[in-house]
Amino acid sequence: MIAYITLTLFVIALLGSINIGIKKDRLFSFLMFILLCGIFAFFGLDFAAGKDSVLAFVWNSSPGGDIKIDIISNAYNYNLILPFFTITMFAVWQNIILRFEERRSAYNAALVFNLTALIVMITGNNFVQLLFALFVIDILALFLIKDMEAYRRYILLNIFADMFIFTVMAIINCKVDSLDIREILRYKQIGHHLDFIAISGLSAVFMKIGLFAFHIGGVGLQNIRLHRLQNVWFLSSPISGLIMLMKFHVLWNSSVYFAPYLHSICILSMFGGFLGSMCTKHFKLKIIYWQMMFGAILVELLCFRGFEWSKEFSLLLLQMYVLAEALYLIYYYTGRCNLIAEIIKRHSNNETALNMAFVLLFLAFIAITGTLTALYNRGNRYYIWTFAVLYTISLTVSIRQMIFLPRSNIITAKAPSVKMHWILFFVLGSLSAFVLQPKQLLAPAVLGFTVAFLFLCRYMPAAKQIAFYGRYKNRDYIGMIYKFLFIKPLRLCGKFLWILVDRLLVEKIIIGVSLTLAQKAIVGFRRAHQSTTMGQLMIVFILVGLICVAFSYGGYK
Amino acid sequence: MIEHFIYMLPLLILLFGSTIFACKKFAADDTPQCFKLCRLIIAVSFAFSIIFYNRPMLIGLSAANHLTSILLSWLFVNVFIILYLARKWFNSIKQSGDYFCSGIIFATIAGCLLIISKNIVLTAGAVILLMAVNIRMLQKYRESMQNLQFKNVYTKSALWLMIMLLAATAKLYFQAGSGDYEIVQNMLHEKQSDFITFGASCILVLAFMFLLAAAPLHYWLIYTAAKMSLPILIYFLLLVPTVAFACLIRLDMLMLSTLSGSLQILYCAIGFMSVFVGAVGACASVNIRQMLAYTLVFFVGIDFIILQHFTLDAVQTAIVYCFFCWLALCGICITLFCFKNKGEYLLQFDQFANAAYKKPCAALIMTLLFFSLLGLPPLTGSLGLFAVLNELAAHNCFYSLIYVLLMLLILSYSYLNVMQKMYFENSRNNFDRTGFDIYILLFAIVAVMIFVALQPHYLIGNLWMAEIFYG
Amino acid sequence: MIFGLPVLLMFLPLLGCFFVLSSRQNANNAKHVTILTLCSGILMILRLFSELDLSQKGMQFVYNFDWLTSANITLSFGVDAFSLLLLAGIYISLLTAVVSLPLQQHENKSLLAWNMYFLWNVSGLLFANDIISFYTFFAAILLPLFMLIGQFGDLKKKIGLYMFFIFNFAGIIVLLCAVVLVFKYYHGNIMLHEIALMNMPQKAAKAVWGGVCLALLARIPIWPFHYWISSIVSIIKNPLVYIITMLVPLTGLYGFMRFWQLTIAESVMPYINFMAIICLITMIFIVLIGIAHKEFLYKLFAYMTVYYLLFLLAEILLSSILQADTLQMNIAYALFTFLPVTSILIILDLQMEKECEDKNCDYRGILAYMPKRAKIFVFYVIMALGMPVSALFWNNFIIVSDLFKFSFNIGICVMFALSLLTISMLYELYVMRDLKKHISPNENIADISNLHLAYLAFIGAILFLSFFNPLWFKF
Repeated sequence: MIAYITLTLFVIALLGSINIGIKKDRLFSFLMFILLCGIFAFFGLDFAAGKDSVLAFVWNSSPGGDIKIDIISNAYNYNLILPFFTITMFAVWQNIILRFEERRSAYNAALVFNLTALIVMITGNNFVQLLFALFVIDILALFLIKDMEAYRRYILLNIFADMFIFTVMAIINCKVDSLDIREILRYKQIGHHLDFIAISGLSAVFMKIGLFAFHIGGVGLQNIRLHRLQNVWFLSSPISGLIMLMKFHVLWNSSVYFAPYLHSICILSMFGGFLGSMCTKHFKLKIIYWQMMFGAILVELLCFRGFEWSKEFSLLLLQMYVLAEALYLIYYYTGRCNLIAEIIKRHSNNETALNMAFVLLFLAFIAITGTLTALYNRGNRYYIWTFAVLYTISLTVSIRQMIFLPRSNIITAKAPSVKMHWILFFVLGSLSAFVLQPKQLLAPAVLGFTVAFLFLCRYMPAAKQIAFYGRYKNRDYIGMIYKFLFIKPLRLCGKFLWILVDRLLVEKIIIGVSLTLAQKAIVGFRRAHQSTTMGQLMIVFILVGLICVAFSYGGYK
Repeated sequence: MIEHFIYMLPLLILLFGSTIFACKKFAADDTPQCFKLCRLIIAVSFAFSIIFYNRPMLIGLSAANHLTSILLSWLFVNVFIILYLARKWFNSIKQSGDYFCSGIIFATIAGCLLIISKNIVLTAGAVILLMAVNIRMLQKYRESMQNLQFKNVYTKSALWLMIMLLAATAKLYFQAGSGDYEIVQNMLHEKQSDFITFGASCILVLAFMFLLAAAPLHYWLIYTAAKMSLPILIYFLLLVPTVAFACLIRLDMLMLSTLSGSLQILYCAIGFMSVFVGAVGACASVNIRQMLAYTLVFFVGIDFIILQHFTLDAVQTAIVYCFFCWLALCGICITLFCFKNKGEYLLQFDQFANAAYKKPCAALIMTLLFFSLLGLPPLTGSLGLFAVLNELAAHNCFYSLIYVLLMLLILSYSYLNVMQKMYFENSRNNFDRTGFDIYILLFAIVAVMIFVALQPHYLIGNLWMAEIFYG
Repeated sequence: MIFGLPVLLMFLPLLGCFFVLSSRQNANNAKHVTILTLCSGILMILRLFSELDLSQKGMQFVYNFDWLTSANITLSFGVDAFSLLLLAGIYISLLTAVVSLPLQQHENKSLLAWNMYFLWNVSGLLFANDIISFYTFFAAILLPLFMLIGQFGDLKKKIGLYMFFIFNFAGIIVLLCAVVLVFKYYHGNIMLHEIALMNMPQKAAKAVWGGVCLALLARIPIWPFHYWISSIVSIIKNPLVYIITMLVPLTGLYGFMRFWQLTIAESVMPYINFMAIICLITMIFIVLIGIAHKEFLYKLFAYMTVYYLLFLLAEILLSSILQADTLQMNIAYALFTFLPVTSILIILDLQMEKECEDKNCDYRGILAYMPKRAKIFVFYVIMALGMPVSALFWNNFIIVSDLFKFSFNIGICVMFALSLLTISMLYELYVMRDLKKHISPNENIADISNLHLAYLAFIGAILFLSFFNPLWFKF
């Protein structure tokens, strides 16, 4: 039952976050992994048993309805949780093996907390529960990123997206007077501000996934460690965005703007990702752009499947993860250089590892192609073709540059010899074998792409592009657009208001003028109190005048 | 016949005391004895006035009821406080206080007469006596005002007013055939359309306004207060207004109420002017004594605004408000005795810098008293302000109400100036040691204020005025 | 015994004030007395909560005092869950401020005495059940505020302080006018919740409600009254004084809650939308100015103002369409978290500013040198922004949702302001944490002490538990 699994995961994460000594950390994190494996086994058994159950309790009450915590165990949810659970486990395993984190158990705990939040989000049916999980995932992303520069854009954009989703939920709740997500169909009938809700919600999802025009947060992650980048993409906010899309599409797609907006952003993301990955010399940035492309195709495929998650999507996600891990291994064994040119310059001492990584990458590629073929239909064919072609070209160019480019003419430097992690390859290999679907491999399209992939990796004229990297200045145009369209005007507006209202109107005009007037009045008052004959006469005049007025106008009793 | 003589004992003792002070000269070293003697005379007089509280001192010319007893007590308390504080001042400057003591005794006689009088001749006489005492007080202590440009302004004005008052009293007396308030009231009722008679009544009122320093007759107090010595300041801020106010309310209720329709305009105008002058003048001041003088003008103005209605509840409200203001002013005057630098009592606001750190207790009490004057709850002054506003609202005088509050807002600025100097300005000012007795006096004032705040039914709420007025 | 407890709780700070004044002149005495008083107060609040009947509407443990029988003035005091929650929030805020107060010279004595006096007035305000006692304590707050800001606010220009006093005094005077009018037509003292139901001539009703609204709005930094507070808070450097100043708008907000407990007076109805527009304009105005400013403290001020205005908007707009007590409890739950959280952020920020000043180093990136402080700071910022770590999270959701129910446009404006605010604060947090921003590195920057950290973590835990049940401490 998912509820118990969630609770156990939470407890493990809680224990993992206890600060223990560095020496015990490795053992502790290993124990965590073992426990996770055990829970995963239970999860698998439950999944296989196929029993549906619900754990629901009322957390709090409000006039808009009870705030319930629902953890629903059914096949759909198991299927949806499976890839994330697997990825989390692998991420924990990788963390133990590669030892990049100072406090591995704390990082693992963050990953497990994140998984718990994802499960809460997937299984929940309450706005507050969804929002809760959404925010928690974003907060945990802070721990996963752990880099201030990256954190700035990524988190800011995600929080902005959260505020959009918050708004959407608040509007729905106010109209249907219920916090239950299943009631959103009633809102569809009421139909107020449907377009606003759809556009806001979709924008939030795009921000979270990091699709084109909303990818500045993702681009900001280029300087964090690669394994963190992978974990963020496959487990954190982009996934929460996808889940939101699946939960709310019923309502959002009733807007006429939904489909055009979604398709246009996805197409733009594919081309934008392709161009970005081709132009950039930064390896991590390339990965970010590839993920953008992948995010776009995932959304498109989901759209044409009525946003119903299926086994194919789970597989696709896992295959993509294996591919990303293979890229990670290439990065790892080429000396962890960020720039492609740097990677090329280093003559590798780790040929075997690189070749094995390439095999893994190749396996993942054909697995992805196979799954795409399985998901292929009349509606999404153009999108799949576009993605497949652009992705293959972009990926092969980089693979060619990093692994297969002849190095005779290039000044090379010795790359440090890196320990061969056989166990990592073994696990990844098993995973790729698991995600490989033999039936799909025989499809003509798959065969075609396999041949094309191998051919391009070997014979792609990639050397010229390296020269292009040197000339091309990779500027963040979208970031600049944001800056000049939103940030600067807002700041200027604030400054203008501050100067105009606070300084000029209140301080200078209202207070300044009142003070001047008061000072003048005081000076005048002092002058009026000089003992002059005129003054005394005036007093007499006033008094006589008053007496006359009183006599003339006063009534008698 | 003997009983008439006995009932006059309070006055006679005061007269006897004044004779002693006229005959015997006290040296500067004898100041404590001089004040002791003066206090003894006042105490005996007070005791007799309490004993014969329901017996008229001057049969046919005076009244004796609860109100007069209360007002007399108030007068004597004032005198005691003034004497107590004045003794400290005279001790510190090593000067004989005999002249001051005799002045206070004469002023007490005048005050007693004003409070008990029910005859305009007696009233006018008492007013003239009081004015004469004031003139002598200011003349005598002119050393301390030698830089003052306007040292004779009071004398000139008072003399003019005395002449006019005599003329007005003579007119009213001969026209009514008697000086008794009730007879004069009947005469006024009959001669309502006679401008001269009305003018004579107005001059009588103006004399009190002059004593109370209501605008536009406030100038004398403002000119002199700036460099007035502390005992004289207290005398002019506490004693003179108290007796003038006490007499005015009796005059209003017993004689002038028949002219209320006309006098309402006069009172209202005077009140509005005083409130304005008091508030703005206080803001323009940089001298604490002058500021207190303006404060007095402000509160007198409010009293006139209330008194315009000539009803018992209005009078009661005016008394209550006057009492609260008197209490606060009295407290502030006492605190002024705490702030002394190298033997000199402070004058300018600037001299108060650092006061809060050197004299925290006195500064705190002074602050609370200033805020009390502004009517800020939960300080006692808020009760008085509430009573005033309630009274104005009851008579639908909403514009007056708003005006009063607006002026109060302006007045607050001047108090802020003092606070600012005391608390928020650092300086190396040092202050002389203050006697413990002054603090006891201050705590007594605070205790009274707390008591009144907790048990206000002794003062406001029920209409006790009617009961004591004729009781 | 329990019936004496509310009165004792009300006068406890005054008692504390006397003890502080009579404490010996050393650095610790006054502070210890204050902490003891505040802790006792919190215990009393807990005891009162345990006896409180949440199902009962209106004030409980009511205590009447015949003050002026002849004028029909009976002062009435009582508590309900709403006022107790606010009081608990205020006590925790002040306790936190006092605990983190640096041990300094004799100045502490005066500071703490005024602080206790202020607390007495606020307690009185929260306990007041009738208009006279409400007015009394509402106005009384001004004196300690003025003294605290003037003495310990480090003000360079006195004009700001004068403006502060005069603005507030004007508000008090306006409220006094309203009270006098109510007194005139009711012929005596009246319970707060009955005023909206009182029959008055139309003009008088307009004057009364106009006065009440103006007086209460003068306490909230709403345009054009915002200047008095914005000009003051940007200068105050003492955390306790800052917190006390930022509690002032709460008194205005509380006034609205109490005056419109059952219903909104008809005479005000036509102006409600106008008030709402002004509130919204102020919210956006303050947020934009907050973005333009680079100091975290100003952003925090903007944050507090926006939240106060949000609660005010909810009160004035929603009390006509929702059950008043439900709405009030939502706001109270939110405020219970909001007050301590903002106080702690103020304290932490001002401490950092002081550290920078002492060590002559740059403010930006300073948190990179203070890992413990950074953790606690981030936690409280997250809590303040309404993330799911406190009751603020879902109460915000409910309040905003209800605002959408009233008007879509208002809801959008509110969300716009909240979003900008969140982004602005998070950005500033990034600036404070980013080591690269730190121009003049200084290794000697002191981090927060373990004891202080433990205390803040304890408060954090209390507030975190409120996320699961806002009244978890009621047994």
